[in-house]
Amino acid sequence: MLRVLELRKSYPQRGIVLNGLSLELKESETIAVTGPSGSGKTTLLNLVGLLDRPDSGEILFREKLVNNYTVDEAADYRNRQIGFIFQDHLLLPYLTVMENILLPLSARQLEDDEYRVKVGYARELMERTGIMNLSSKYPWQVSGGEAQRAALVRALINKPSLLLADEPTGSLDAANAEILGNLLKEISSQYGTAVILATHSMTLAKKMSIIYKIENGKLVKI
Amino acid sequence: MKLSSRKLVLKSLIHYRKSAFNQAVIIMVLTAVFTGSLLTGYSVRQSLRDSAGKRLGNTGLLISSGLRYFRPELDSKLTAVTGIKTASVLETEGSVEKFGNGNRIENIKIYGIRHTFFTLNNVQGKFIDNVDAAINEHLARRLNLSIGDEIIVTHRQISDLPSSSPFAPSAGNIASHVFKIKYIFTEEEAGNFSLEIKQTSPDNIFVNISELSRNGKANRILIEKDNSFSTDEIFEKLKSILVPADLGLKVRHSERTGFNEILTGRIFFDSTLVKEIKSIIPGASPVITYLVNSTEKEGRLNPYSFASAVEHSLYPEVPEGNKILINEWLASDIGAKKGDTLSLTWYDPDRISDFEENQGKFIVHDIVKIAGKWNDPELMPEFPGISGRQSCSRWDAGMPLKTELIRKKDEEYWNIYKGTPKIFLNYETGKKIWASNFGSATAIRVPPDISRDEILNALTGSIEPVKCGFAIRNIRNDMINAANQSVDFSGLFIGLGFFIIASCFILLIMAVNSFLDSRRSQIFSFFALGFSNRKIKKLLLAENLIISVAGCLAGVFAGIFFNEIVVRALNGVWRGAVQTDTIKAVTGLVPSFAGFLAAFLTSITLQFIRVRKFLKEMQMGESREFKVINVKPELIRIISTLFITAGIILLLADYAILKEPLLSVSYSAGGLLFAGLILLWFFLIIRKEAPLHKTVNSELAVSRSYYSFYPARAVMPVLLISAGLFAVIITGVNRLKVNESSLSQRGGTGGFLLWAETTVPVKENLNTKEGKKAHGLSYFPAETIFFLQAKRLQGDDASCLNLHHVTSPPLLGIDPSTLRERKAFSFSTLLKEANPSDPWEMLNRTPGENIIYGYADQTVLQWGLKMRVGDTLIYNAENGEKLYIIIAGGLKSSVFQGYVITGEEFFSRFFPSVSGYSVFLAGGNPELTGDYRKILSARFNSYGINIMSTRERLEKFFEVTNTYLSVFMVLGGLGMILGVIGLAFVLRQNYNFRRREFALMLATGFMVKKIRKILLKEQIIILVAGVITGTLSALTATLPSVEKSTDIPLVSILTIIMAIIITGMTALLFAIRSIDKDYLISALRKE
Repeated sequence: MLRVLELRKSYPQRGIVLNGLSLELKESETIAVTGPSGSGKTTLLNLVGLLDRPDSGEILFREKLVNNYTVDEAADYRNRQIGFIFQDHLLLPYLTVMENILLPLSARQLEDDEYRVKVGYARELMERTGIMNLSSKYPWQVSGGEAQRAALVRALINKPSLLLADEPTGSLDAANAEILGNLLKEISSQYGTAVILATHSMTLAKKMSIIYKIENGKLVKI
Repeated sequence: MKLSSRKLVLKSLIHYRKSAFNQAVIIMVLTAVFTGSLLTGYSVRQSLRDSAGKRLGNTGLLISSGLRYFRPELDSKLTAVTGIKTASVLETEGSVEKFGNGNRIENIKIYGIRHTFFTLNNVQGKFIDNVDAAINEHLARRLNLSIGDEIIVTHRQISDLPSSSPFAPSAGNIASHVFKIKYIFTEEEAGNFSLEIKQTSPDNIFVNISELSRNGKANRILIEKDNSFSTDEIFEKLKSILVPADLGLKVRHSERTGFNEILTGRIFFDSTLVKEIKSIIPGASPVITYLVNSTEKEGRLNPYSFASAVEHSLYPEVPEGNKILINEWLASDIGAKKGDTLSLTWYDPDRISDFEENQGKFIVHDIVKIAGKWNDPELMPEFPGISGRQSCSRWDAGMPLKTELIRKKDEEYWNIYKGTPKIFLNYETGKKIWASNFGSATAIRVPPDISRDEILNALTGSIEPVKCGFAIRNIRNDMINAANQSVDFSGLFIGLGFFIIASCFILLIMAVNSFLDSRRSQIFSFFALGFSNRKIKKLLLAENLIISVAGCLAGVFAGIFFNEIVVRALNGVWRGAVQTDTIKAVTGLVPSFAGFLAAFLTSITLQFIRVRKFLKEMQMGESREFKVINVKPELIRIISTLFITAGIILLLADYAILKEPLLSVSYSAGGLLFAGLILLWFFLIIRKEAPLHKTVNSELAVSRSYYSFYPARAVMPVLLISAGLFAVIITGVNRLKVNESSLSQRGGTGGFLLWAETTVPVKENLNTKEGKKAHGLSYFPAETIFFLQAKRLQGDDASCLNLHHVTSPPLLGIDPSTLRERKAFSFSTLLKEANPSDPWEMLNRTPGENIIYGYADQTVLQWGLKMRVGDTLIYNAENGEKLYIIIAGGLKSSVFQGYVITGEEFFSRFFPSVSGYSVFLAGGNPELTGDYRKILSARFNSYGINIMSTRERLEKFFEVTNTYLSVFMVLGGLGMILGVIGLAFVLRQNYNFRRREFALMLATGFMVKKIRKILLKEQIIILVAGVITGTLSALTATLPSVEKSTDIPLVSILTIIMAIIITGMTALLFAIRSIDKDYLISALRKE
């Protein structure tokens, strides 16, 4: 599904971060990417999600080159194919949990029927993740774990092919981290969503099918 | 359920209502300034238009005869042929005194009116007879007059015969009346009637027209507005109804000679009228009869004889050239015979008041008997001071007569033959020597075969009104246009409010930046969730749109309030700018909408630019936080030291080397100091730190480390505060003042001590012994006064005291020789044809027929007339021809502001009826100025003199500019205060950026109190640095002015500085209160 070939990326202040990184990901496959701070885990996710552009290399999604997409094409790609979860849930504080979850649907025009279907799907996911009772609450009214679960549901609302999770449990306590980690694994296998998980936590990484480590700007399988 | 864009935007705005509110407030202030300024300009223009309309009442068009007069019944005749209401009026100026207490006002308007004036203005039930007067409310208030009070009104004598005309009698240039006030007219009753384009309230007196002038004449016809006639059509109608009597012409038949002749009340016919009559009546022949002072042959002298110059067509016997006929009486008196050469002397007709005599030699061609056409006393014009006098020695010919020369036989000749000419010469020769600015004929004779009735019929409806000095204008349109093109207060106040606008711009940018920065992570979410750039931009701009609309709408109402305040100030403390208290605050849809639109477009554009830049930065992954400074601190230090040193050296040199420090040098020093101090501040921010433990104050060392990364956050606020203060202080200090330079010969006073204007012109040359004697100025100290006298043609004041755009400024005619000698006054601009070392000489030149040169004050040219050097003003000369005055130069700020100056010689040629001088500059011993003023006030009291020192006159003009500077200072100060409120923004912004840093400090043992103290100290240092930089450099720049002047508004300046400091401190303390421990801790926890 996803092929990343010889990605290179450097920053003026940081120098070379990715130095010819390559990766292949099959449909529904789940991988964890570990490494010390500054090794390039977030950079990789940002590049795959087209939030940033590589200096060189190729990113092929279903054999289509995506890293040369225009800004609008990249946005559409992120909306339809990618789901992002970040360490900080990044829920909008002025929208309720339900509105936050439905937010990705506002990025493009949807017919009323299609919208209703999505809402139904959202409810299903909310039930699945145990946050249905929080739909009318605001992010500052729920706990970190609950907010992160809402972020997970938001990331999945458009049934993306690929979920990019950047330290999703970084701000959570162990219990919530365990819940979220399990959810990730289950939902991925239930809905066939591939996952790239960037994490420090080996406990979480072990929930994925393959574990990589970034060393010297390249991926090394552990 | 659908999460529409509208819902997203509204929810976001409600959540961020505080930030949105802050932005809206800034936009509201910006809109208030734009809208308020536009409304102020609109209010001023509207007030001037309304005022013009009210003053004119029902008058739309105006026919004027200039300096001449006509029969007032012309109004009824014009009404009869047009069906529209008209009113003849006699307009003149004078002075009024309250009977009993001596309170007096000069330069009032006096209108001689008829019943038609009331009809025209729809005023019912009013009648003014010969002992009554009506006044307007403004005059009543000024002199505390009530109905029934008595007033003494003084003005120049109204007469067809100009008092400076040859042989006009010397006595009686001043007329005085005592009237009882019958009415005090309100504005609705045409009390404020005025034909002048100016905004100041008139002082009006209305009297019966027949009481005002000896012959009950008029000089204006007011024509009802909203009629269907064009000006050309009305003028044609006027021509059709004009009969000779209307124009002061009469046709007389001489039984003695059989001739018919046309005479004028002005005595002299000007050449254009002679030509006009000759074209209507072929065969009409001009005659000029003049008084010859002496006729001499070989020591035998005959005094004071009349001589007539006649045309060959009626007097074929009269020879050509310098050959003359004399009558037998004269021949016998001086023993002359045919062929003898006689010497004749006469006064130069154009220099009568100087008693300049001319002389000529003439050859006796023949001697005629005193019989038939040679015995014609009617050839002598009806000089009022000569005709009808019993004896020659009783003549009042307007000049000194040597009565000792008049013999008994001369008196006998007068008794028998009256003014029968003793000498006859041909007309062409007579015209050469005796024609003047007043005219080239004293009569127009017509052959006997054309009857008197035929002459009258031929002249009726045939004379072009313009040839008799008539002109018509759409006075209503002219006044409205002048009001429409008046001083643009909209632009003025937008300019004066520059600092408020600039502060709003900067605050808005800061507020938008702060708003966007605080939502960086959310906007990142939008990106991550696949929102397109366009969509994200739309959402953000939609928020901005709502904020802008709300701010602009509120701002329009605030602007209306701003306008009210400003108009009140213009009518009160800032009255110096408008010279009236009648401006009304008016709200108009167009200016309100324009203000709304201007502010809306400005704010939305600023926001759009910021949002676009922000999104681009986010896309590029740029961190606004990490821009490395690549400037070498040492280089900055060196440059800063150089600038500061250069500034100090320049200032010291200015004082040490130059006798009088120059403002331009001190300004340069101030500018260098300003730049140097800003660079010094920059250096202090970015320099490499000594190790922390070595610094005296480790708290500020931490701050300095932060600012060394982000120097703009420290330098920009300092730059803004100091630049604003610099501008405000130099504006406050550099007010226009009358100084030594102004009082010098090259300055705005020309070295003269006093400026005086009289309502009744003074005929005499006050620089001559005779002139001084005539007015009691022969003894010390008055004998030491020298004068520059000017003839004046009334017009619309073109000085900065008049808000209107005028096109007919008053004219002054001066003899430039005094100014040439003294090299008085200075010029800002000069035509290249002018000689820069002798510019006044231009006034003696004429580049073509009816074209002369003129000078005006540069301020008048630029702001009043909106003209440049080389442009041309067009006037109607008295004889109906056009006079073109080319502006040859602009005077530097002078006492002549408001006038256009031409040479007296040309002035008299085109406006001969302006008899005498009405404007005076007096010079002499400066220590005797007070005495001069008292003496002149006393001597010329009956002439309605208004006298002030030249210093006072200049200060009056400077008051306008200084008022504008005061307004700028106030608005600039307000702008600065707004700017320092922005410091609170900066504080919050800095705090938000450095939350992690402060959170860490908290974790390492710093108390929240200490963190607040650090933030506060930083901003106070910035505030103080800005104030010191601005104040110090401004004081350096203006040191010469500060030293010399005692009327610098120090209190205002100090108030503004204190207000800036206090407001800044208050805003900072307010902002610092919101920083609390819990917020910091939560930030720490998240990290």
